Amino acid sequence: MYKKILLTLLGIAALSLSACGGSESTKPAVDDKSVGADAAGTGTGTGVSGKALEGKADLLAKRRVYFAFDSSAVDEENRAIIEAHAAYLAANKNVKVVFEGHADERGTREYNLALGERRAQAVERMVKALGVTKDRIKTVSYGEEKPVAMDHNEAAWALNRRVEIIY
Amino acid sequence: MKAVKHLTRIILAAVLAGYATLASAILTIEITQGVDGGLPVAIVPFGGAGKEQRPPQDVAAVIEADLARSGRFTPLDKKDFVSRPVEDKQVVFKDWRIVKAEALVIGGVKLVAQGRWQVEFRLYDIYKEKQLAGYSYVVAGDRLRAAAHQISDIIYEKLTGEPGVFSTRVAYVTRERDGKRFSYKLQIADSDGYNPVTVLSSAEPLMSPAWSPDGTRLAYVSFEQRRPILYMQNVVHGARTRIAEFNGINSAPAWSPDGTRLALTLSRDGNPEIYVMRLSDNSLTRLTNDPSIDTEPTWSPDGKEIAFTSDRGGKPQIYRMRADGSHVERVTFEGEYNARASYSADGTMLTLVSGAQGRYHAALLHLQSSVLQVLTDTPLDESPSFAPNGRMILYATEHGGRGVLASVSSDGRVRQLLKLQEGDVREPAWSPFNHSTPTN
Amino acid sequence: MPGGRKAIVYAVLVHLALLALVVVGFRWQTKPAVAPTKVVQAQAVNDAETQKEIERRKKQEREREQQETKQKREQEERERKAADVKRRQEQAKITEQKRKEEDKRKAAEAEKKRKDETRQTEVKKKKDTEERRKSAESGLKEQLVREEKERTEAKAKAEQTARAQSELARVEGLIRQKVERNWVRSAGWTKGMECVVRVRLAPTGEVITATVARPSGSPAFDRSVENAVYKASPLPLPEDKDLFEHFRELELRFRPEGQT
Repeated sequence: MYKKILLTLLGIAALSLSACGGSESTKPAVDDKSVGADAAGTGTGTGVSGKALEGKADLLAKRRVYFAFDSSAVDEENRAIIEAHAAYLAANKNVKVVFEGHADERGTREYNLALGERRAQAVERMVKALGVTKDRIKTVSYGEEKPVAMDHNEAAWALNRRVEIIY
Repeated sequence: MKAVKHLTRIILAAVLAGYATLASAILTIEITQGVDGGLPVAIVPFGGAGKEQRPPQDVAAVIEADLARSGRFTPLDKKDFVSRPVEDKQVVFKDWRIVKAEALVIGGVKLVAQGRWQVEFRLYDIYKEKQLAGYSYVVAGDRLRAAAHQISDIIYEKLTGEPGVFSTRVAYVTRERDGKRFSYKLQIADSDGYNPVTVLSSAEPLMSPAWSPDGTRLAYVSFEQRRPILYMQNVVHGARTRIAEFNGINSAPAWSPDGTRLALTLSRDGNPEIYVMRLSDNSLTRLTNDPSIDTEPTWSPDGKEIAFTSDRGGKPQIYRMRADGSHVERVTFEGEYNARASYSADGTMLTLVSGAQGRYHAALLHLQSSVLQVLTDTPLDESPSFAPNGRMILYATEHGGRGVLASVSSDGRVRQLLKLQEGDVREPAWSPFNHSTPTN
Repeated sequence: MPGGRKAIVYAVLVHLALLALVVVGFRWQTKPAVAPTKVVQAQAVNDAETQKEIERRKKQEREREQQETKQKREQEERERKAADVKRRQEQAKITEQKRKEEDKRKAAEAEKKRKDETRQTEVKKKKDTEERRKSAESGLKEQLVREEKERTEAKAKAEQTARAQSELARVEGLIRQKVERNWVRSAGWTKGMECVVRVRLAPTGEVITATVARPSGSPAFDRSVENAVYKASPLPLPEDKDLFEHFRELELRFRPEGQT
């Protein structure tokens, strides 16, 4: 009976902790590994590895979001980064931002120029939806013209398919 | 007995005659197969004046490389030459029939004044045993290559009936390391990559150079303002203007065959669409209207159609429409990715980049039959464009870790790398026949 | 039918046998045991009666014995008769069989005779035909010889024509192959183009002249075609010099097939 109450209490504590995990502190992420293990009750010490929930500052420090080949869709991980920036922009109304879209070298340059723009626009749309006005956002595309990785392989290409967030 | 044999023969002859008359007056044999290959031509090393004055260029070698690169000729191996004439009177046609040459080129280069050379050549038809062409030039040492290219043009035209492209030029972009950064140049060189001349230098990327039909101007995309903007520059004296600097992308310039209009890609209305700008008044007409990416326009040689790249079907494919934007129809159906089309001079073919499974090749689409012919096996090809005679295609590819230019004959048989420049080379554009030479 | 008759006979016999058996058996069963006649020691009482009795009994006995013997004899008679019948039936059977065999033999003989006769008539017929033929043959022989000769001659002629035709075709093929081997087509021709070259040959096969009789419209194509002919010189010719006439003047029609 007591164990139950204790567990419930722990659960509530964990939840509240995770909710305010990033708000005021600049400390790195709450390590929720233990929470995960306890809540599941396995307690064997192996296996369950959680994902570090990064603090907003860390997300803000990330100035690049990445994309899959020939796509301008934003996945969960990158969405979090964009949301952090959107929040920052919403909080600081005199700041302007440039979203610079890029593509990897495969395919034709002009099409990649358009693809880079599409990616930058995807980020712009997301940020606008979170309340940032158009006049503070600029989008540019460099297509494949400014890669950050020069090799001709998938690892390099993955790094080049990006939108840069420039203040 | 002899009478019988004779009789038999007469009967036989009559029968045969009858058979022959039934068939036709004369025996006709149909020949339908041949050997696909270059015309066998023997190019004899040019004679010189004397050993102390060696010309700065090996004219015969330039001619041989030109003819080979076109894919239409097979220069014969000099090891097999029975004789090496340098003058008309030394030519023995039988010697060349032995090696099965169909044409013979002989010539000489001789110093006639300070820094001035006399170049002579003769072209012969071996089996008709007659001279087809013979010319003499006097040029400065630095124009010897130009003279060689001109000779190649004459030989090409005499033997194929089509104009040669060896005196044309190519424009392209180079990128070189400049400390931690890069520097970009727009250059114009000979059709074989020699003698490059820089017409623009920038710290920001350059893209998509396009020759005007009269060969005097280049339109291109420059990022010098930190975004893609379209410029036009006179090749001879370097004066340039900004043609399009709207919001979003300004790119993909394509000249109409009459030189009065430019098709281009603008995303000022939200997504990349194809527009046509009349150069006389800079007026704009929008041709496409589709939320997808529409870019890379190219004009048909008669100016009535524009082919372009669109991913309105999901992935980039080639479409074409009338020059007013109506009657859009899809043109490529094979492969996963087809982009960057450009028409051949006779309008029957498109060269484009065709991609499948992550590999992108220069390819040819025969418009009549819809046959797509992949021309290379290198996986990172870009920007293919036709030579003005439609017989060769120039494209950018990757070789030894850097960007280089290559040419491939339009039947795919002969491929050559152009002379390697420093740094990465990309975005080649072949000049039209009438081109201008920049004066530096 | 004989089979049926036999069966009835057997049946009757069997029944008789059975009956006999039954009767005899009956007889056996009812034959009283001969009991010893008790001689009653008669007292001189009523001898007449006893004597009468004895006489009566003796008479009975005698009658009985007579009866027995009679029956015996009857039985034997019956048996004899049955056996007779049997024998007679068997005899009949044998006779029947003999007759049948005789019939068979006779039939076979008749058949044989008939066959012989037929064969003989055939043989005779053959003989006749043979004789007729022989007689006719001797008359036809000369005609046949003549016909045979004509046939052989015609055959030889046809063979020679066929040989010549196949030789022509063979050499045509060789010429075609040699010209095709030497025809270098660099790009610039399209399907549907046609160039006709008229060729004059020396008896060695050497090309004396090759002129474009019908140009294709592309001088480069025409030249490639002419060059092909010259490079292929000397052209192959038939072994039989008499067939050269056929090749003295030729037309080569160049019509490329395949992809441009």
